[in-house]
Amino acid sequence: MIDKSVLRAKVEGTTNISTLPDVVIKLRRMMDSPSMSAAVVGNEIGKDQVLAAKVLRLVNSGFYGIRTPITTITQAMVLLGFDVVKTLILSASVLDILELMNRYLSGLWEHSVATARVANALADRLKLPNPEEIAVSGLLHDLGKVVIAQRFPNEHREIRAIVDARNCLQVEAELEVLGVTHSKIGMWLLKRWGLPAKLVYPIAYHTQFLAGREFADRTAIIHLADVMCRARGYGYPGDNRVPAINREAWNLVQITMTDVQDVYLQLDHELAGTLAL
Amino acid sequence: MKKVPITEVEPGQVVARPVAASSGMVMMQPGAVLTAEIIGRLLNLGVDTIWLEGAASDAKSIEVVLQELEQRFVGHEHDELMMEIKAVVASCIRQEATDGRD
Repeated sequence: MIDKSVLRAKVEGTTNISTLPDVVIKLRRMMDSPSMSAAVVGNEIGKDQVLAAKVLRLVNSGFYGIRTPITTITQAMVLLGFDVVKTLILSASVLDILELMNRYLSGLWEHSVATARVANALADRLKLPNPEEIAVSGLLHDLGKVVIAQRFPNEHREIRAIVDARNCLQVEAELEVLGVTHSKIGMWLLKRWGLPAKLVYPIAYHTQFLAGREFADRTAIIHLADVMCRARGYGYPGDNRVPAINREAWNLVQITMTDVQDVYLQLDHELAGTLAL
Repeated sequence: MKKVPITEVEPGQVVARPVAASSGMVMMQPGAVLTAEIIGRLLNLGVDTIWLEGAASDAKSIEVVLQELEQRFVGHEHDELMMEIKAVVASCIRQEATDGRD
């Protein structure tokens, strides 16, 4: 097994996941100024045609449940509102990584988008502020799996072989082969990139929920959203098993089975034939 | 409706969802018919998959889907909460099968 510090250094040196670090700087600037106006955002996107194109692509991908194509950023702002467009920028910024997902693990993108949608719906139900931010954590919750595939191809193959042979959860194989989980690996990288703890914690601990940790509510939502999407079979998260729901997380989110069903039905409707990126 | 890689679509097939180029520009609207020339152009524009009208050829039967659900939950038989979640998913699967055929 690779020594953990060596492992971490290699993860933190991951700069070749497309052009992300550059984009993360922009992302951080945006997260840091909550007072930023729609005009500033519009201006910012206008300056970056590649980003603008990605935002439009995401708007039209089915992720936001819109069925009439949107062709301009202004139109998107009017229709979706400023907050959503701000989140779209964050999401578009990470789109590069998401596109890598399916190259390494077919179906991971669908699983990630579905998890983001469920997380958003649960955050809405809980009336948490900034549900779009929680959705971004949902989108990126399995980032570590992409990092493993890209930075540790031999270990990735070993993990795949174990999952296929034993039909176990991918995390079990990760612990056996690497000694750490994709959750922790994702955390190392996102921390290194300077993303705020409120986005990183839910990703870092979605497979190992602890009620006492900071951002426990957000983490519980990502954990639950992940399990719900696995249970429903949206996409492919890297294995064909459903991990048990953590009771404390379940109690914290305070939803009923009727809520669970409502979220599924809403999503079934929205995801029917969409997610074409 | 089915999702098909651009390399496998054929002239005459009908687009089921808007097709956007990698620039984000919407190139085709639902109902549009593909031609060899258009397919070539979409390829050049970086489109990699298209949603087409028609039944998915690899659509799984509801029995198979429910069986896969059972397998995903193996080991949770004594976890009441998980069994409730499974029941909800099963009912969603059945509902989808009744009203989701297009």
